[in-house]
Amino acid sequence: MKKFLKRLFAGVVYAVLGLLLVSCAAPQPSPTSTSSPSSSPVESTPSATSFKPEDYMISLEEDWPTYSDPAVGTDFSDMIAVTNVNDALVFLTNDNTIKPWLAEKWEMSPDGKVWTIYLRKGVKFHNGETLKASDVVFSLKRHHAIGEGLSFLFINIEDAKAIDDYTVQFTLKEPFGPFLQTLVRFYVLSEKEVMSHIKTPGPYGEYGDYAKEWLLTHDAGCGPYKIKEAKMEEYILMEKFDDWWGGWDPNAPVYFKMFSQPDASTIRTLIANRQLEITDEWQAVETYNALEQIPGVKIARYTVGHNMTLKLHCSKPPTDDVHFRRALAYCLDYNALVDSKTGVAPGSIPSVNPVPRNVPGFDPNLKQYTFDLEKAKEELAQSKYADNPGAYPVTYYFAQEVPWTEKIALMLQANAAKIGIKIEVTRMPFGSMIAATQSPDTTPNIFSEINAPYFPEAGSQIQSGFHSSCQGTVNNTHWSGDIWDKKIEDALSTLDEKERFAKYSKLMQELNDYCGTIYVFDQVELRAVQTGYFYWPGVDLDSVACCAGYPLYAHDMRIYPEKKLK
Amino acid sequence: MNLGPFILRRLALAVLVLFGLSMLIFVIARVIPGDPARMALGPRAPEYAIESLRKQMNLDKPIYEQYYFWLRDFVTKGDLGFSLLTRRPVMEDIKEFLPATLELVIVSAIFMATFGILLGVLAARFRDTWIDSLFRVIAYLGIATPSFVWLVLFILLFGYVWPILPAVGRVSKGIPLPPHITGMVTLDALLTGNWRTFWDTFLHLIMPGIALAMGGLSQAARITRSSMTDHMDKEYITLLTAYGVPGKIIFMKYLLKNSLIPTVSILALDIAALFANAFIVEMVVSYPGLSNYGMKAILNKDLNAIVGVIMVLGIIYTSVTIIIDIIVAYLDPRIRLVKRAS
Repeated sequence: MKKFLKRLFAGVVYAVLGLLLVSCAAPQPSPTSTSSPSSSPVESTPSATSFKPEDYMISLEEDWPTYSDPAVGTDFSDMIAVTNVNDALVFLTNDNTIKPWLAEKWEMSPDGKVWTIYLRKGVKFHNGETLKASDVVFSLKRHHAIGEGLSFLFINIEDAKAIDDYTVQFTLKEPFGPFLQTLVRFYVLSEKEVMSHIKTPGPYGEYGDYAKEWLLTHDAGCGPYKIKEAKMEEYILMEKFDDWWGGWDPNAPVYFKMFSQPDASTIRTLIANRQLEITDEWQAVETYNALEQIPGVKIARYTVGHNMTLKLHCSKPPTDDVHFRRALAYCLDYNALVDSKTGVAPGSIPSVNPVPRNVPGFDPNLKQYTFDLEKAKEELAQSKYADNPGAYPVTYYFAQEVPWTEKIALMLQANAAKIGIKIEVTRMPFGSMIAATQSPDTTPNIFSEINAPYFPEAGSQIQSGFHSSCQGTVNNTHWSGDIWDKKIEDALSTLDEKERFAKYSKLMQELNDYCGTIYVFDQVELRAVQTGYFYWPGVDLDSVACCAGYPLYAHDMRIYPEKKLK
Repeated sequence: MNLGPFILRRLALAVLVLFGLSMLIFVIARVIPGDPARMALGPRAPEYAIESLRKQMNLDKPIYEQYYFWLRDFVTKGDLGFSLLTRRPVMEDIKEFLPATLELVIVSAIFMATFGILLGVLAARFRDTWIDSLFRVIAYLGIATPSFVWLVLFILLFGYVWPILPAVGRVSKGIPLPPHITGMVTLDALLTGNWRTFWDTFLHLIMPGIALAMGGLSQAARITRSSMTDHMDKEYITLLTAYGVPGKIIFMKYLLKNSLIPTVSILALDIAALFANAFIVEMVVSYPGLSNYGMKAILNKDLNAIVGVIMVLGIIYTSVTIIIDIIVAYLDPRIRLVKRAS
């Protein structure tokens, strides 16, 4: 018996020794670094060490799944992949101006219905083909046929013609003032590459499945990165496209890896071990604070075009009453929510517009609600529910994937209770929230959502937030019918920018008064970023491109492996 | 020994259970409010695209017809439908993700069985000593603490404070993946003699594997200990000792073998349950397994994927239960005799 027990003990000892052996054999990146955080591009130092291409890899974790097909993707992570793999006709800079890209120049007819686009010459797709006007026409046809994701931006294009190899003419159904702005989302795919990967039979007749299945894990674009490997539910590994027309900096990342968002503790470990360069933007403030303590890590804080909104159901009691809605708007302590020490979104700025400050068309002179319980009581007294507001409980949904938004719900619940309004807060998966918005009966009174523009102009958020065509989506849960349609359409069809922006301003003030949405704050997005050996332009900016994907343009990032070793 | 009728009866029951499960999960997944087609195609998808997807998924038909088509395709073609999340057939997803979970569960099961029995035997041998008390505390902690908490602790300890093990994914940067044979990258690397990849992928399995095993391991240790101490007090052990049978033979041949019957039953069920418990563990480390896929499917109302994952887990669980019943019936004839009599 004793011998047996000795052997058992020996077994345990061997197991422990085995683990120790594992620890010796495994690579041991240093968890701490002596590099000081840098707020400017990291200076490269000459080094005798030769680095492998994988040393020039940067990693980003994001919400999943990620679709890199421009006719399918629509979410934040999709747009990062789409923008890095595909080039659009025009590019959106971090100061939110439009820059010629695949389209070198353009002309608009006097009635605003015909747009002639002149394409850049010598642009290569990842398969080696040269970009031609026919690829642009094909990409539009594909958008129209599939109709998913951001395809709705191009529904207004009635016809597209290739005038010659490098000239395309778009004819619009109706004049659309910000048409050029929508082209930041017009990504061009290679017709030949797509057509050689279609699967037949499929839902699109002779085009089979339009290569939708193949494009889940491959690409047909001409962007600075090409998909090297994509594992569904796990990661997309993009590789630098050497023949990209815009050229390369020697310290630009060779590989750009996006992978599925893990738990906060895992993120902390990866950052400390320098296996992750940029985190996602959805972590709790406490997580970012903890990450900031890691040497060489900085928290980037910038306005990105998102605003935190509480959308109110305008045809369901008690939020069908404008005074009741305003009473709710006065119950929120906007400044406390953005307080730099105790707020849920430190550094964010209370909203004054339906659009954030960095979105073109923003008007700083509009009146917005402030925290004022006396005014809330006055408004409530004018509502038809004044006699017994507690008898009409207000339903409030927020997404469990964004845990910090719960604090906004609890604050509103507590303050509203002081004036007799009862709010029932429900936490649920965002997928279920989307499902709930599809009918007025299942839509809650208050729907918490972070709103982002689809194209870089105020008209995008106004249209998606209040036009009846968007009713029943997460962008528009008001169920207020078509009362705003004419004004929105009039503003969007105005070709002169100054005149259009004036119409936006008037409309936005009316929307503020209508109080269909409580605009809580212009969100300052946070991301933990390595700065000791890695540079990302967004880390130094207060404001970046307002359309998702553009701020994380890997081509403009820099990595210095010799610094990483220190 | 005639096990045939017993096995046939168990198989028939399993088919009934799976049929019931498929109906139940199919209905539950579909009665949740919301149009999955609209959710999948984005907020502003035109009606024609939504209608086309509804038709493709039979969502425009009554629920009993939907179930009929689903069951027909599953039984005749092995087709579980189309996933709205990954935009490809659910069966393809399962083929990709199941091997990852399978290898995690295998590693976890090895930890669970080895250390569970080992700790139980030691606790029984040193009954009522400080060793027994120490193992009891460890076992209680193991049972009471959820596996994801263990994993977070392990990540902080062995990924951050003492970074000896990889914290995320299945394979490290720069390590080539082996050719696809079974889909289990560790096994595939082993089969192709790719030792570097084998070692790297094995390291990735250690933390989630142990974290996942902790509950079952602790339970196995407690059951082994209590079963062994019960048997130690039995007369046949006293008799064997009185006959002068060496202690080692009594321990290995009589005590351990008899005491392991309840442990084996529980262990097998725990191993089957690992597939379900892997849900959160896989999410913590972004492990691309079936459970992670299932969790995302549930959060995104991916109807066919939800049904597919639950059915696969149901089949695994039912199969394991049958295998255990057969093993236990083989080891202990009283069980099948009782069942036959009843």
